[in-house]
Amino acid sequence: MRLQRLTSIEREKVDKDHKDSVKNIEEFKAILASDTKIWGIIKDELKEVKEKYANPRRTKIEEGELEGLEFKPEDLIEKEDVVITITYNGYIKYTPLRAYTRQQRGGKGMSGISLGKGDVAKNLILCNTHSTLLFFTNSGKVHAIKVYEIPQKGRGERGRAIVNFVQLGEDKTAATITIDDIFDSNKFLLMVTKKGMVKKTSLKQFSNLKRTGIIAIKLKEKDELVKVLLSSGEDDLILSTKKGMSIKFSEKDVRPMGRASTGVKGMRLSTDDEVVDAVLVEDEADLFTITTKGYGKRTPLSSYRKIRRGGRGVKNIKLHPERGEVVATKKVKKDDEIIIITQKGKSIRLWAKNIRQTRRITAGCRIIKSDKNDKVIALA
Amino acid sequence: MAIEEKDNLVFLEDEMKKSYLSYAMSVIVSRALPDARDGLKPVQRRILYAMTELGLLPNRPYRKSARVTGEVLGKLHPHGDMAVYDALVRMAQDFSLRHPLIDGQGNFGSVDGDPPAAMRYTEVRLAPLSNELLNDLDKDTVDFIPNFDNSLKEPVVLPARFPNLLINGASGIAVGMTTNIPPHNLAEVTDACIAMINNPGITCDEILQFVKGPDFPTGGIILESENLKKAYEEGRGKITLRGKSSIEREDGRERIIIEEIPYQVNKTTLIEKIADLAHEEKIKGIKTIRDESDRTGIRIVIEVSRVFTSEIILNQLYKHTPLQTTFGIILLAIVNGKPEQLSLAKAIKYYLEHRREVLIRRTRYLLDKEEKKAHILEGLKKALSRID
Amino acid sequence: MANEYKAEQIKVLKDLEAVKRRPGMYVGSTGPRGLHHLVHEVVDNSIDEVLAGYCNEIKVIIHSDNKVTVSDNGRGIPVDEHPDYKKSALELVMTVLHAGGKFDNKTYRVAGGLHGVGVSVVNALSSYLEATIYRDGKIWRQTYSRGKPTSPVEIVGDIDEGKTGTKITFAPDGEVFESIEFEYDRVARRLRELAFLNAGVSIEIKDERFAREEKFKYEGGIVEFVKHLNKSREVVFPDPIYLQGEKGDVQAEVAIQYNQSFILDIFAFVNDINTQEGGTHLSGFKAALTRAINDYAKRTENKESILMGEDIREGLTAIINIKMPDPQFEGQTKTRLGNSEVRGIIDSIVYEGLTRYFEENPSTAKVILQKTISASRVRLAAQKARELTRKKEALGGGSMPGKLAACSEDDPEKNEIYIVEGDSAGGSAKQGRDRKFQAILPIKGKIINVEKSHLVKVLSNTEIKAIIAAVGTGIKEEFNILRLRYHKVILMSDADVDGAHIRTLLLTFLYRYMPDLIKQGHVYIAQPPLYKVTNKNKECFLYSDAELNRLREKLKDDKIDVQRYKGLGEMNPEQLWKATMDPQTRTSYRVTIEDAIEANELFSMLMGKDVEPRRKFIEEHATEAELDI
Repeated sequence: MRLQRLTSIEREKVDKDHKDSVKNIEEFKAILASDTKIWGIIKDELKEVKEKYANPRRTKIEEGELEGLEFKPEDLIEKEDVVITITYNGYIKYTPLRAYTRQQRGGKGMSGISLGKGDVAKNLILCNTHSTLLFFTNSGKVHAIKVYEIPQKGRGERGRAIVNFVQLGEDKTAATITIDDIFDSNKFLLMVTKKGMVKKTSLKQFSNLKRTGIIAIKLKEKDELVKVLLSSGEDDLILSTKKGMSIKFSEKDVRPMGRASTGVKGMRLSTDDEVVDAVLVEDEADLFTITTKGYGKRTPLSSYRKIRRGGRGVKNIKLHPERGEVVATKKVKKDDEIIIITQKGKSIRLWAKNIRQTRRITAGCRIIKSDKNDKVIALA
Repeated sequence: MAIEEKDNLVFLEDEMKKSYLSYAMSVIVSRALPDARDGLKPVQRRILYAMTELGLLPNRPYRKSARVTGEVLGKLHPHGDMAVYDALVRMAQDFSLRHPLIDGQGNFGSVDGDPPAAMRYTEVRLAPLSNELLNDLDKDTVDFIPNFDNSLKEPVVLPARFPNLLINGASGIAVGMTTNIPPHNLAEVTDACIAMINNPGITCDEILQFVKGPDFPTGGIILESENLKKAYEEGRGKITLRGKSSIEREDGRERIIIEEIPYQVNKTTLIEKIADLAHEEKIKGIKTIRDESDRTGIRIVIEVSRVFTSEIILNQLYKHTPLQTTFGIILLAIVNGKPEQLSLAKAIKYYLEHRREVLIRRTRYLLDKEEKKAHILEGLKKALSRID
Repeated sequence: MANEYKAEQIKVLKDLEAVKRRPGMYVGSTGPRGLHHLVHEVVDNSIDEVLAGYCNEIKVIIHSDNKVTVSDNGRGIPVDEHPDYKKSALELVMTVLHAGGKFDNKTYRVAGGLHGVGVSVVNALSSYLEATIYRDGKIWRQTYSRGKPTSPVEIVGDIDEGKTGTKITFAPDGEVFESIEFEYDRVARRLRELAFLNAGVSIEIKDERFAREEKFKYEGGIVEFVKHLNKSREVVFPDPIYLQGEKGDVQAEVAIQYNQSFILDIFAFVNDINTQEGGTHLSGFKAALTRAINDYAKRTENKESILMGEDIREGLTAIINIKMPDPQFEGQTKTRLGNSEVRGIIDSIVYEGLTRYFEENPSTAKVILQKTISASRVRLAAQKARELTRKKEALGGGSMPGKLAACSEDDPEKNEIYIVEGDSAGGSAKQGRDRKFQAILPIKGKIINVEKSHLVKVLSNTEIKAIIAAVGTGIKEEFNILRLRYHKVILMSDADVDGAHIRTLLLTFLYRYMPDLIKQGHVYIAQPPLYKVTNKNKECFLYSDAELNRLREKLKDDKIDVQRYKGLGEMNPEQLWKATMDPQTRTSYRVTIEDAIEANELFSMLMGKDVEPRRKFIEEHATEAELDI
């Protein structure tokens, strides 16, 4: 009886086990018979692992912000305001603006560059490291280079010869340099020559600039390029001569031309006179004029009467032999700074407002004490 | 001549070919490249198998690495001890494997390139995830072959419940070929597997809806480009990988904070390189660089001088230092005893085929066992019925 | 008054007597050198006038009777009476030693070496001399014989007020000189040199004996001198670099040009004297040139340069021309400048000038740089070759590597060397060998792949050095089979795939560095057993799986114990001896070359730098490989 009871319990269990077993066998057979089932299990197991172990992605994937994954030089070079110094012998450098400190009017200035024997500082340009430098040679060619491609040097240091960066060729020295941040806007280049010619050309025509240079203006014999301005196409401009004459006219009088053309007459000059500089007119701005001996004046641009191009213009400054001839002009506003450079490489930096504003026909006042053998050669 | 002996000749050319081939093929097939199915190189598989045999399961105490190494050397892998220990260490490094397969106790090295402690110091056991690789090994799911001295048997592949080849990646230099498979995200790859089960004709583009790209244990940023897609389509291509950085501004001062560095970049080397470039003024504007990393993570601080722009300095760091690197993807793995360059789709396909085989073999094994059991139970039933 | 006059006279005569007695002291020799020096001395007098800026024409005529006339358009030697000597200045110049240049303290010419001893020496050594002076509208003349006036200074005619000059005609003393035949070329060479060194001056030479004449006039001065020197050479840039400067009383000019030859031509002149022995000016120039070029290289190439002076001077042609007061001449022939201050002066003039020139003429600077850099490369390559030779020689010498366990026999024919993989196997082999004729050299790990490595690197490898030293033959060109120490060189590595790899590396080394060792049948490969089978206390070694299978079949049910050897270190010394080293029982293979061309290609493909062909080979032959697990 006891055994029987035992076996009945056993039997139930065995029966149940057997039933389970048969069920399992059927299920296994079903799995083996069905790909869908197999894949289903694989999926379930994968899901299980995923649930148990997956964690969020750690590596971010960003849309390619870089063109072709390459950096452009501008991405790698600090955009910084700099002063470019170019010397008469063709040396160039840039110095961060912060290396210059402000001085009051009448100061002696400080050394802006260390010069080779017989060299003089000729050009100062305020721009930034991402600017493009256009080298217009006096023979009418133009070359391009990025500011960051020229060497950075300290205030008192010497630069490097431009020929190392721009192929200026044999006998052409850079006559004028202008800067540019934006290449394909609706801007124009206004070119002014020593003999008073003016030419207007769309900036677009210069989009393929190279270091080797391309023609910017076709010059007549013995003429030279003295100034190039970046204009909007509707500006007024003032040309000034070394003998103290100035003419103001609208650039609309000058129709745009191709690169290889000569331009039109901008100013009628007296014998021996020549155009030394040109500026664009702007409201509320003054024309600052400086002579070789360091005399200068600041006169509102509005005091110059606008006439048609090709005239003789009006008197800009009263000149005496001991005060020298006009060297350069600059358009300034009250809060602008002016940097004056002398032949011996001295430079002085001062506020425009520290120079008294005067009428057009005056002689101006002494701006910089120049040494006996020194003279002012440029403005910036 | 004192000794006379028979003069056997061998041609130099034959000897070179034979010896070189056997070396080259051995390195390719059974040393440097992972198996497409479980993503393991022989030495890794042997380590995991030996650890299972030793019972070093995730819930058991740690054991000395030296014991594991000894076990592997003595039973399965007749090569140098350092080769085994190095492989063991790598499997425990959370900066090398996306999901470490070994749970290590002690110093297993760091992103600074510090070496791990010697094998007599460190201790190991299997990581929980390894269970998923080894699961069902006892159910005749895979083939076993004799070990080098015929005294034991070892599995030729592991059942691998998850696609380890893509999850943890692999790198190895064989002869005439190399492999360099980046790690991926587990969720993404399993989703891709499921998608392929649902749609066996799935295209690469469709798979890439799931797998966004590699997912490195060290984080970082991948710059997406055509190259990434190409690498997955062809099994070979280059991608650009960057560290993660941010710029902090505090009373006009800026500092660059690097919180993640690219995979396999040595942090010390990176910092030294940055310091060198700053020192030589190749990169201007870096005042100081400090490594503030601690147990919470990497933190490299670069103080930027006032007048300089952090973004530009960062770009320079990308360009000139390993803060940005190129990862050359080569999806090369062993398929049917031969090396094969795999597309992402193929890698998943081979894995799924393996799983299917494992599952069939497991079911058969279980069926077989169940039938035997049923047979016994039937017998028992009969026996019991006779007691009546 | 008469006494004084007399006293003076005696002194002068005494001086010039000394010249006549020992002419070599004053003009160098009584041979051709001394003879031609007479012409130089007279011309130098005219050059003084050139330097002072009063003369631009000099004419030299060699007359048919070997008299020589030198005339110039300078101011003419003064003929008025000298206040101290109460004599015509002309007569003083012609008869008093060292009197010449001192009449004009503006000239730079100062006695130095053989030069500038004065025209009086010429007078003393001439059998006849006639001095004609054009001055103050008059023509003055005085004649001499062997230094003594034979006539007073007299006016012989009138001339235009503006025309001045000096004309000296002399006949060298046949009793003093061995020969009085002047050589045209010799005279002309010096005159051309002077014309180069004094830009713009016209110097004519006329030889009445052979009706030859030439005129030298070079506006370009030393620049043309350099061009002249390089005229038949291929120059690196067309126009010589010209630098000049002035510091204190020292004026210097330098012209530099490079040509494609390897020749160095630097001529340095001080006051028109060719300073053949060099001196401070030359060393200053060299230092500045080297520094300027290295600085430029550093600036533009942006790397530390290692250009040496010899690199920089290869193919250099340069003229250094210095004018200075008080030069100090030293050396054997008194042609080395000793003034130490000149070094710094020349250095700064050349360095500053060159630096600026390079800056402003980048294209020329670039070609110079390329030229010097390539010279530097050649030099370094040559240096490397020399080092290599030294290294090879050192290896050939009898020194024995420390790890070698040598054998006791002395007969290379009987001796064998086992090159064994790994120190652990090396130990077994050392204990198991027959030390009479078997030497053991253990090699650690995988040796360098010589197919991929530079010779220098290969020869610095310790394992390779040990093998070369042990084998004894030397390598490559120095290989000498007669020095072979062991007639059997046996390579023994493990019977696994790494052993196979080491074998290929060793064979590559032997094939590339000692090919004749293989060609002449001295290289063997030992065959270590794969299995040791133990059956009822009997053991045997099996060398392949096939042998094992055969044995298994034969013994069928017998229980056998199989040990698979993975490394030589697993064997006991005794087992190693029996299985691989005992000549009676071992199996080894002699390596022979079937096809040398194929072998060569095979080594390049399997072991070379190019991956692709190797990969292809592996893919094509993958199935033939014997695999290892």
